[in-house]
Amino acid sequence: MSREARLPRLPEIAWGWPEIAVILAWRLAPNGYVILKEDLISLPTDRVLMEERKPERLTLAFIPIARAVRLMDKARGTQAATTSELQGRWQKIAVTTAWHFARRRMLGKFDSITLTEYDRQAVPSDLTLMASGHSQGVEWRFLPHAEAARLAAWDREHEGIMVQEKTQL
Amino acid sequence: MSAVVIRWDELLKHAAARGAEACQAGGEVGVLARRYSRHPLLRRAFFDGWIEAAAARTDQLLRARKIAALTRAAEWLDCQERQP
Repeated sequence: MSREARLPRLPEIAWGWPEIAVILAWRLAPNGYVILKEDLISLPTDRVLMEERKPERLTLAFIPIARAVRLMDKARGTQAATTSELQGRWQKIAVTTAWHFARRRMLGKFDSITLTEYDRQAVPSDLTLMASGHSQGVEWRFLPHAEAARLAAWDREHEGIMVQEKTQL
Repeated sequence: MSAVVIRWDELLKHAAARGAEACQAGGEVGVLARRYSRHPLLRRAFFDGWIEAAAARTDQLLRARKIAALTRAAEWLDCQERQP
């Protein structure tokens, strides 16, 4: 038995999509960004997202459908990728955010991004990620808790279009 | 290690096909698209399918109606995209 096989297997990264979305937002745009209506309706039809989880990292990559089909091939045995439809609010937010930056060539080679525990720890615990709806899209910003709470309270009393999500992971 | 492929291409194709069917069946595209899905991505795909099917119809008798419908549809989409 090889040395590698004798070592205990570490569990792979188990972050949920809310965490992934917040980590992506902090890594790619700590000063905030705006998802335009155009971004919401322009996910590519010729590519899909591959999500690869390992004990030390998580990689998201926009890959061509042909490559996705090869990765899903049953002949790969335990290495074969499973498939899932785009579902859930935070998964949609994370994928739309990633595509927003991929379109601007801000992701890595092959339109992929790798997140590690370092990126997770880098998200400040004293900030709140806030989304505010505008006529042209949705603006995402990291704000101090107190300011975010004040804005959210004001907004609830008035328009009710602001969503508050905590960055505490 | 695990890998998951997250797909939306089939959903979009399905939405476009439903849009094309809706175009053949007739009706107001804005209402039909809104009824089909609340998600802007799927609504847009439905609309695109509808437009493609409408553009493919070359029947002269339907020409005027087609232009009117496309105009209304474009206005509707524009209105949708302006909504907060």
